[in-house]
Amino acid sequence: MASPVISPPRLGRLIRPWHSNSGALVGWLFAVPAAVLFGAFAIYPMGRVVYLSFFQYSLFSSPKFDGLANYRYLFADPVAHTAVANTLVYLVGTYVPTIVLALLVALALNTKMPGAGLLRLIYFLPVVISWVAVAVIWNLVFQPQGLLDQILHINVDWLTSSTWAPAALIIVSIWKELGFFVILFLAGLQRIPRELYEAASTDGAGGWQRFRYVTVPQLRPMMLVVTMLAVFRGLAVFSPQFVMTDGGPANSTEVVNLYVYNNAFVYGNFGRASAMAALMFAVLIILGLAQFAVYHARGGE
Amino acid sequence: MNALTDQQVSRRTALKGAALLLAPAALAACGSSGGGSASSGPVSLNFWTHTDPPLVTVTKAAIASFRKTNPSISVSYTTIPNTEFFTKMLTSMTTGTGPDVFDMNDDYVRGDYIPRNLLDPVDPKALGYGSLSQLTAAYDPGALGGATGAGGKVYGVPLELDSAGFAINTTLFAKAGLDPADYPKTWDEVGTMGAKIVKATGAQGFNFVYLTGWALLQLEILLLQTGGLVVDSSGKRAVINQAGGVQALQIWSDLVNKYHAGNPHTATLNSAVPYYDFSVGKQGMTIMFPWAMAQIQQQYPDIVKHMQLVPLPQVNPGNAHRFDYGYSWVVSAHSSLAKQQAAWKFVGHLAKAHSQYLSQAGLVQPVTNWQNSTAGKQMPFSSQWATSYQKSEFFPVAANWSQITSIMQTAVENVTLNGKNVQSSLNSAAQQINQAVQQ
Repeated sequence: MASPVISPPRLGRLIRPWHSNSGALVGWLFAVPAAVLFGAFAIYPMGRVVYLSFFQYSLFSSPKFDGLANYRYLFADPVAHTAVANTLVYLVGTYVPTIVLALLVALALNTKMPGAGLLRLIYFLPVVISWVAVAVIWNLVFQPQGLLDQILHINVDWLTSSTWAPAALIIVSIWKELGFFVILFLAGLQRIPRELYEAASTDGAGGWQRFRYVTVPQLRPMMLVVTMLAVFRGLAVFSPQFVMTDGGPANSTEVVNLYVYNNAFVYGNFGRASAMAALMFAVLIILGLAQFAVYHARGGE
Repeated sequence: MNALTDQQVSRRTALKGAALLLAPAALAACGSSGGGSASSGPVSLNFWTHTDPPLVTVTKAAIASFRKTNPSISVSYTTIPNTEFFTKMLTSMTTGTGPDVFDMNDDYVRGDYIPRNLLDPVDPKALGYGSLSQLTAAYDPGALGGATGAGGKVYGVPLELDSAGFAINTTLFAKAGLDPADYPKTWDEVGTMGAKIVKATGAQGFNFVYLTGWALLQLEILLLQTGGLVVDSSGKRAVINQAGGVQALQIWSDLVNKYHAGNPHTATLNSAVPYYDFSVGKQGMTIMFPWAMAQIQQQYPDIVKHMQLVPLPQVNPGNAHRFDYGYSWVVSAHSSLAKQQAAWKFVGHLAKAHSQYLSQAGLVQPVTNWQNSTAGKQMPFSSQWATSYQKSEFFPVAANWSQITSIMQTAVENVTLNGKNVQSSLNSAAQQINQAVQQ
């Protein structure tokens, strides 16, 4: 017996005369609140930052147009150069090992080993701890003759040496960020159909070949997400340097966002801070587009 | 927020004068007693200070007594953690959410707040004085210099004036075979005696404080003695890399790298207790301030028995220089006229509690003859401190001082923590300071 309920296609045909006239309008109406909020709290501030980068603006007086003076200052300021270099070192030093380690850990946890759930939780715990708490914990670890020195039988000035302070922050950041990327890789691994591995095994593929020809290609979309997030998180880093070393010693852990913060909120120079933020924004856009381009060039969808 | 122009300031000053003329009528209208506000209605003040538990305790008591005699002026008191104090204050001032009255480090008062027209000049009458000269006469000579602008205008009243002294641990001295009575008179002697303490006891001989924001403050002590300056009198050209500056930082470098009197890498990183190493007996000598002495007495009373306060070592003992820094109570230029008058009246009340600030918080408010007050005489090492406070000597600062402070922190860290050359570090600092002050 046929169902008395009108099937969706027929319902669609019934309401189309009304819908076809105003569908676009309804769609736009639904989108407007989000668009307005996005414009007010994302687009406008970004535009304002770019605008202010051409002004001398201390917040204590009206902005004065100053052309490219803020950008010239940045290109001549050795602290700005140091901040950029330190940010790149932090990005590579933290996220290359983190991604490799996270993939290995995710592969290990993506098995039916006992206690895998508990291990996942343990790896993820540092992610949810605030940077302030992390700073308290790791300051104890890094203090002279502290836990790390005692375990390794070494004597390193972890936080008071310009050589070692950047390394110390990288170690802490890997510890804190690892769990986040493990979860992402686990999500990617669990989306790979079991049948692909079974088919590969049937064809005689060994463990490495299954990883090379099944796992890696199937993980490519997640790898794009992971690398983009890593680049953005690395370039936007602020908290570890702010709470653990305040950019020191001798600017050795000064990073771009700390430079922006100091210029805006400590020195009261919003024009210069805006110029650095605008440059950073441009770099992030370019890097994001470049990553998409590379991904698509390698056959990603 | 727009800065106040000279014209606006003049108009406001004129309004203030008119308000003072009308004050008796206003007082009568609101039925206030003699201690009432000059405004026609209730006034609510936002009051912020940095966090120092003894300071907060005394301040809360002073607010309570102020409210009793001035019921029409309410005071909302907020303490800001020291690590956020300068940033939060500057940001709030620019966004109009800042306090009406607050305390501020004198270097920043002169280097950042006065040049940016953020402060209201003192109102001697609201403070309870007949004139500015009467106010000045109520304090030790030069004591208001920490909050005095380039034109001689005074913008604040001292909450605390900290004169640098020098403390030695007599027990560590004895263990190193040194006589505490023969304390170091020069920085070279600090180096040699410090090295002996290190060798004999394993403790630090002498160390500076290696915390963010402390480097330039301590270098200023040496700069005053060597005749060095950070920027010239025009405020537009860095001179820190000239002879006086180089000599000052070289003294610091020698204490670390030549004499090995102390290891900066093992100095405390605890910003809540900057004098921790000395307080727990792990350091033989330190530069000392009255507020730090009070903190040590409260938190580490045992060390006081092993402590002796002596005069600050000098580059040239025949031409001794002291060093002062301090915090002043200041009033926002952006507050309404009624609030400003109420704020200065409130500051006048706080300033009258100088005995309590000294006896309970160890904060010296340099009112004339404070040394001979009961609280002054009861202060530990009172006679030594009294010598330090004979005439105030503030270090000259320039505009954009907060950025200059950061630049100098880097220069000092490069020399002391990274072992870099003094002259090249200061050349680099001078280049950055020139860029900062000339933009």
